[in-house]
Amino acid sequence: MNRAASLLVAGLLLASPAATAGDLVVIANAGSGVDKLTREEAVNIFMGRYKKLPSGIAALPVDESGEKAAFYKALVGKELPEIHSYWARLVFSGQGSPPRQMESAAEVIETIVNNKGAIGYIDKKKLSSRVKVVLELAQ
Amino acid sequence: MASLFHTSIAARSTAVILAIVGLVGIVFLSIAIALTERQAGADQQARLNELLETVQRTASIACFLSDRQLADEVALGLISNRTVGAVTVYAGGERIAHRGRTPAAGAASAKPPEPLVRNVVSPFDRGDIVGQIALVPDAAEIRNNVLAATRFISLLLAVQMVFTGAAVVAVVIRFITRPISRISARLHELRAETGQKLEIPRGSETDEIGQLVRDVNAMVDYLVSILGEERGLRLLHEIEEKKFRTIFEHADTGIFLLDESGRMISWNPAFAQFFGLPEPSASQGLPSMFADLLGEHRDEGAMLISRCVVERKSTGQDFRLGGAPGLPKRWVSVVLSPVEDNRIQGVVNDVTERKRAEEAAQELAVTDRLTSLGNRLAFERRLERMIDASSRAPVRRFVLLMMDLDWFKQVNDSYGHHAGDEVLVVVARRLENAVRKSDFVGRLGGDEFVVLLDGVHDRESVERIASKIISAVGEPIAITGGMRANVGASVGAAVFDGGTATKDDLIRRADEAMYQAKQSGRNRYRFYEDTVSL
Repeated sequence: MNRAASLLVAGLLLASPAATAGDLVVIANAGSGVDKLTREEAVNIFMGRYKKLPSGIAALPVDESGEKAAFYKALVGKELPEIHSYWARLVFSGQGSPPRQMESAAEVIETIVNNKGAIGYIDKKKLSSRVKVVLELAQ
Repeated sequence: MASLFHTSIAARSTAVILAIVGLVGIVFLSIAIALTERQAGADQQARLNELLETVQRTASIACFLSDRQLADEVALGLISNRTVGAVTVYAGGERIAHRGRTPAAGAASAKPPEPLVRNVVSPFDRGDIVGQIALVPDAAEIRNNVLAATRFISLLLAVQMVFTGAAVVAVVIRFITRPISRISARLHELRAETGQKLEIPRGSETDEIGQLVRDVNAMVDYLVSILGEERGLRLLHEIEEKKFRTIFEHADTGIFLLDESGRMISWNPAFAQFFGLPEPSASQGLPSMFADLLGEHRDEGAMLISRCVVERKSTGQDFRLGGAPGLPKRWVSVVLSPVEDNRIQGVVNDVTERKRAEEAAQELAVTDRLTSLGNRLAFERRLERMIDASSRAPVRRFVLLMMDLDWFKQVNDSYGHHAGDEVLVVVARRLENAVRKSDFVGRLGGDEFVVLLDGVHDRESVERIASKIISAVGEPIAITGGMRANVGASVGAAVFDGGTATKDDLIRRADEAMYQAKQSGRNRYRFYEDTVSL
């Protein structure tokens, strides 16, 4: 997908009345080889089931502390404490680790730009053209 | 134990009730075991479901991630529960964890229970099945639970049996055995004839035992009354018997019993006195014949007995007893009656008095009142008898003298009838003195006398006697008033020679000869002329 198209999409999204404040987008590195993720793929990656992206690159999911609660609510319908307890169990068994924690959307973007397999989420309004939107989550 | 079963109501009831309780208990126990088994199975199922519910979340995550470590945690957690025999976790089509318990010894052969399989869904999408958990219940645990439950029920049952048995024993002893034992003991000591009654055991007044006691008392009353009646009857009977015995012992009548052959069986004192026998009590070894007691009438007695036996009716006869030494001569009347058992009952009465009276009457009939000589009847009888005897023994002859007084009419006329009577009496005595004692002297009436000379057979004797009579009668007779009377005698003699002459013939002949004597000058005798054969 080229940049123009992306922008177009973004513009469309911005312009659309549905794209109200708070909508989240799942973003990935432009070179990740992934254009679109289904919701299930997103869940599997973020909840640690899949270690790799559909393109075969090792997945590196990251959380953005500001949008974390909204994101998991939108993605799997769960509150943050549940998510934390889920990860606590996995950490205890030593089998998996939660996404890396980021403090801001900029940091998320930076991480994604710098890592091919990185995948994260930000407020749609803070979208940067340096990253690729692979899934949009309506609030 | 067996004997106790038969002799003790308490033991028997207890055994029977325990057997029933035990049987029912076993039935209930087996039902309970079946129910418990099913219940235990269901309980385990529920518990397994609960367990699964508990590990649901972790299992869901483990399956979601195919996390063997986490799955093993789940399996370990589950297997730690004793109801779980084995746990297997599947994810993505492969087994990611398995935990099993080593089956207890002996349970290996048992068929393993059906495993409980449950789908595991994704923690994030309930519609997404990410794996399965299979749980196998622990058979041993089920068995243990059932066993424990069974043991408990059995214990309860045993306790119930013990208490039931004890209760039955107590109740039976208290309400049945002990009252019955008491009644029995009292029955042993009961003096029913004194009117004693059984007491109804306390508390049993209205129940069956009370009824039993009342019935026993009623029966005792009945028996005692019957006994009393019986005793009264016996007493009455004894009195009667005594009365008869007294009559038998003290009667003047001789009573005796004979067998058919005439042998004496028993007799009373009066009988013994009649025949000079020992007292009946001392009669052992003396079963003499009755007929022998009659002495010279022995044969008549035997005849009487046989007549009684043959004709089967009462027969009687009078006997003149010659008298045993020291016993007076007497007449007895013997009556024999056939009685049962082919015996003869006899009665002996002393009829001596009656016989004497009869003889006296008889004597009176043949005696001349005035002179006490035989009268015409006596004379005729004697004459008949002598004719009879002579016809049987022809050598025996006799002579009939008929005498008429001379000048008797003058005595009567001169001195009166009384004087005449006195003369007749004196003449009678002189006649008697003139002949032998065995000769018959009679007065036919008025001044007519007869003399029968038995066995005289020569004319001289007759003439001598006739002369003696004439001279005796011719002697003067002293009569009342100092007078003397003189009479004479004309005698006619007729000899019976064993021919065909009858009584009347003889009388006529003697009468004729006497008439001739009177014709030829009185105070003399004449023979009937035809009787020259003397």
